[in-house]
Amino acid sequence: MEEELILRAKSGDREAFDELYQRYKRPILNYIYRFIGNRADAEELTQEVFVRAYVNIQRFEPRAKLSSWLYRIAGNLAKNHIRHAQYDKRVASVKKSTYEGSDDEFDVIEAIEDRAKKPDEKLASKETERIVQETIDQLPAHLKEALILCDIEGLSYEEAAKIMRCRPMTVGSRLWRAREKLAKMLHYIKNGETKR
Amino acid sequence: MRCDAKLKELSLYIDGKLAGNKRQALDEHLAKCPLCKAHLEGLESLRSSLGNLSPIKESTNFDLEFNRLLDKRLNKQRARLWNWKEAIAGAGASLRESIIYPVPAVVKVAASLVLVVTVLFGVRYQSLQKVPYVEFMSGEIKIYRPSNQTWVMPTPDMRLKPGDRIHAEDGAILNIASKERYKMRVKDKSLIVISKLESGLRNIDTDLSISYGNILVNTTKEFKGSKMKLYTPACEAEVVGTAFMVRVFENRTWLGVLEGKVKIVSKVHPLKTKDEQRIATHVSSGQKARIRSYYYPTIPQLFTEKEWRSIQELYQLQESQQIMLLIGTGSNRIDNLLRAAPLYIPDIRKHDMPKNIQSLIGNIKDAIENDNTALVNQHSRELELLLEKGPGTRYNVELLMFIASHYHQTRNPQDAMRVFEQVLNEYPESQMAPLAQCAIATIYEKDLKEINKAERVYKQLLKAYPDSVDAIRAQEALSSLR
Repeated sequence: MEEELILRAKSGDREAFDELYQRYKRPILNYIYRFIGNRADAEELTQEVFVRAYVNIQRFEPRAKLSSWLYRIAGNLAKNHIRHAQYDKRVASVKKSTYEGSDDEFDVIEAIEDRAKKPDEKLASKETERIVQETIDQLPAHLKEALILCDIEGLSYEEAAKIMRCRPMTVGSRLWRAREKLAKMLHYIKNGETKR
Repeated sequence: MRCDAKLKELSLYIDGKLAGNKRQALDEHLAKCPLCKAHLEGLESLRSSLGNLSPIKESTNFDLEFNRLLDKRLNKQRARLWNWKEAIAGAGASLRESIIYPVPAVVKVAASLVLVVTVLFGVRYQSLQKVPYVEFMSGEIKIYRPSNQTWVMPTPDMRLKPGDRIHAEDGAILNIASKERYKMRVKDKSLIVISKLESGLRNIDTDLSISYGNILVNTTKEFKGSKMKLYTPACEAEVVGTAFMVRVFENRTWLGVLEGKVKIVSKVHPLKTKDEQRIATHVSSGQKARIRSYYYPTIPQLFTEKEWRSIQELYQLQESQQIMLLIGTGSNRIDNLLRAAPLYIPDIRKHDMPKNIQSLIGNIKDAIENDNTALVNQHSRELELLLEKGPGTRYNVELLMFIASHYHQTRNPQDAMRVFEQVLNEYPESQMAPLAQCAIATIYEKDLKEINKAERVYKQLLKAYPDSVDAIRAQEALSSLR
């Protein structure tokens, strides 16, 4: 029982915490990875999430869901990471745009077209996954959060709303705007077709 | 037809979040609008693609790294509890960590206010701590407080204020302490005004105007950065981290320095020079100076035996209450040692020491005061035997040095040397060891006139305790012997 593990962890039982850690480390790692798009940083941040969770476990209220709490810590850390990374990027003022004008443009379009021909086919190839990830990276953080929680992690509007601390319908609007942007960038929908 | 209004609905539609009638209306619209149908398919296909992104796995040493990180953080947290500086850093870290718990702005503002108030209170508390207070008093003492325009009787722990006028009668003693900075004693018939008292976070500036009377000042190591000035009718004295005593009479001031240095500035009358001149003199440890109004200050001189004894009272104003041999800390401390150095036993330490030892020390002190050398020698020997037989005390080294010092005083250098050698052999790690060795060399040199042996012992001292203050003395002695 998760509640029991949490209670034991609260009383300082590291083994109980370890069990919880084993249960959630991968979903949290993937959530952060999709958020920031860098595997090494995602691993570091995931470790930080669980360190903070262990240190602050006394503050966790058992009536909340542990996963929501962990996702929230992860989301905040990821957003901070992006903020710092963007600052670093501005300072360095390099980093080429992944899409327009980039050297990869041809490959990208080719990959998209290839996928566009078989839209339901699984995005299997590493290259395509990279392109999708790079496109997600370009979304604003609040839209990205909704998209990753609902469309990648498969959470409901209500669960996502608890993590994002907003109303479920706000999750719906953010998700819609995220999907629209992403679908256009990845050519799932044509730009001129449904102009807003 | 413009389908813009339908776009959001399409997104909700694929998630099954569209209410019944709206869903039905959209179904109808989709049946006849190929553009919206294509859009819907695009969104659905995007969603399924995203859902199928392959999850990543953690690297092999991920768990190991995590456990190492967690251990490190927990250790740091534990250490933080013991270190207030770390605790402040920790507060910063907790604030950063608190982002996992976004709190309402009101709480943030309240927390900031609490923090600011706490810091201000801390700063105020730190500076208040240094404001001198009455530690002890006896005899007739009163303080005139200009703010209330009344005379008040000092009470223990009463904080002093600038402008306070301290009036002590004959036989009175008033101990004043600034926590961790200095201790002062005003004694006998005195009139002193606290002309300045400014306490900061790390320092305290104290100016005293002394019309007449006696004052002893002993500063601590923490005094550095603080300032103290004494104004007497004859001069100004500036304290440079020290222990000293001032006696102020109507037109002259006597200043004796036990440790450190005091800078005195005296005024010379315009008739003696073209203009009024201010002359500065430094009085160092073991020296005294007499200053008369409008006269050149006397050249600092060494204490007489009697003055030296009277200034030992300063040792009672030490911050830490330890049993100690009353000798200076400078390189001339060997001279203090070889003329019957008194042993200071604070009241709170008396329970540490067996009664018979205490009474013998008292007997030796009485015999010294009565100049009865035979009795000094006899009691010293009794004390030595008692230490030999009985269980040792924590202060054996001090007691042995005390005995040797008194043997020497009674012109018994052989026994003195024997006991100094005992200290050197039995307690070579003690702070007294280099002093004992220096004493042996000095006895060879001055009493037994065996220069070769003296030289040999001085050299041994330089080799064994090169960083000790007594090594300076040994160096000086060696160069004078050559």
